[in-house]
Amino acid sequence: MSPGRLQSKSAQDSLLSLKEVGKTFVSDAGRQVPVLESIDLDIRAGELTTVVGATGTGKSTLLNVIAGLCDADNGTVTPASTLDIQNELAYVFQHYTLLPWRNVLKNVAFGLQLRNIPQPQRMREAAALIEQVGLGGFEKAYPHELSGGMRQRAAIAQALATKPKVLLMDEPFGSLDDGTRAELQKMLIELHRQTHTTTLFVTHNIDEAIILADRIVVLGGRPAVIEAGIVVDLPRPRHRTSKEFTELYMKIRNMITPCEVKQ
Amino acid sequence: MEKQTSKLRFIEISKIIGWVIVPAALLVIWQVGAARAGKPWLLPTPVQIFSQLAHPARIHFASGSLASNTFISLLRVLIGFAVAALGGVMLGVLMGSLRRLRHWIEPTIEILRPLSAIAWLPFAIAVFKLNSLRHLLGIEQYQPILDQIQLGMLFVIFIGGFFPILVNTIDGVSGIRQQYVLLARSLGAGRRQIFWHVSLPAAMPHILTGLRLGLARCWMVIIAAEMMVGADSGIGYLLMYAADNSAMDVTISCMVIIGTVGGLMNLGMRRCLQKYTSWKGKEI
Repeated sequence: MSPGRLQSKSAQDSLLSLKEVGKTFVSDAGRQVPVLESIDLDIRAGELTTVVGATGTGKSTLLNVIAGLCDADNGTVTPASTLDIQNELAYVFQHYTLLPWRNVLKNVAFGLQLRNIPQPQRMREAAALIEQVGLGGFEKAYPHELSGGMRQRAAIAQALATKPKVLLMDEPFGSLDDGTRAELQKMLIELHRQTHTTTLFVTHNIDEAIILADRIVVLGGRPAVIEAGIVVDLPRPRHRTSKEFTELYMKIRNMITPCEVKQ
Repeated sequence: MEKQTSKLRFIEISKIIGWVIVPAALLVIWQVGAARAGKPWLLPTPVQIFSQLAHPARIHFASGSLASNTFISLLRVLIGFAVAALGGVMLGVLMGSLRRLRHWIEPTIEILRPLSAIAWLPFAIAVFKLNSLRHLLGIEQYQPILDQIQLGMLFVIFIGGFFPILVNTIDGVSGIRQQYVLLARSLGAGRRQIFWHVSLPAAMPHILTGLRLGLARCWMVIIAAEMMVGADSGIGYLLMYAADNSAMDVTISCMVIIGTVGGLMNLGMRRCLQKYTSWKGKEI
């Protein structure tokens, strides 16, 4: 659970490595707003890493830089030689995660269609994934006919359909109620246990970060820097009420909001 | 509970009054009034008009029947509209996705757009003369239908339909939610795939709205064009010709047909819109 464990585990394969990555936005008024500063981060194969930080810290920007959806101003993003960033990354967003004019089946099959997988095969694979995320029977439903939790289940299936090496998730459960959120967290842990897809999961919810993570990256400050990297070795399933959980929670909370009175 | 059912009943009764009783009362007043006035060349009775509508194949003077003239008008509109739809959607998609092209062309479009399509008719007749679709297809001998599809008419229909279709398509293609583009890109879509799988379907509600407005405009334009000097067929022509010959029952029959056809076109396009773009406004 200590930051020291980070180094000792570095023998593990790194799939993507960020060195001194910085990003600055220019506001409408022309002011330079630095968002990220010298971020060093190794994303290791098979790990479920959560990135936690207050709203507006630049967590999504970090994800976008990794996904190649926007370019870093400083530093480098180096993928492992085995990783094709263009085709082996998948993204799950918080909103607008599905194309509204396609039903669940066609949404899940979309990535396969883009790769010119023949129709019968992609429908078969999509149907199997829909079953796996617990949406069996809703293949023909349109996104607006689904509840928030069901939509995110479909979005996860859509992202996994292309068998990505890295799954990037940007607050995917951010707008769900607590019960649904807990259900989806459970499902994600189970999917990760089965597929071992390297996952980078961004959230502002500390509970969520601890429940899911093999490792937590804490982002804080303006511009954001990595405050800590914490390997979480609490046994699963994790209980929010356990002593270790609460201690870790307070530790991260104090890092994110350092001005608050420490316990 | 009881109050609610009585309220529902009240609404139902109001609907019956609006849809049946009021129109029927007006028809009765018209029937009685027109019969008492006794001037059918000025104000025919509803019964006289209905008897004309009940015989759509009856030949009126040398100008054909209600059915044949409606058919000619519809044919003109469908051909002109098809060309306008093709051109408007294609140029609109290009202008909506290529910002530079839009900057180059939009000012010209905005200058030409407010100009009424009918204002183009004298120019179109001067340019195309009496040439019809038959001449365009290079057929030598007389063709009873193709000869009625004058290029000048097609041109003004095209102008009428083109601009609403173009402007709506541009709006649709350029106003796409960037999130959907990002989603497709993150799943590995290239530029061309984004166009076919995201831009086009996302713009579909706007494109179909453009087509609906365009078709309505085309139908208005052709009626006006057929009433102008030089026309010798079409429902607009028959309407004018019958009035000049004091056959007001035929004229009003033409009016009924024009309104009904326009209404049916609108209804069909709306059905289309509802069926294919029911997701619109519910994105999440």
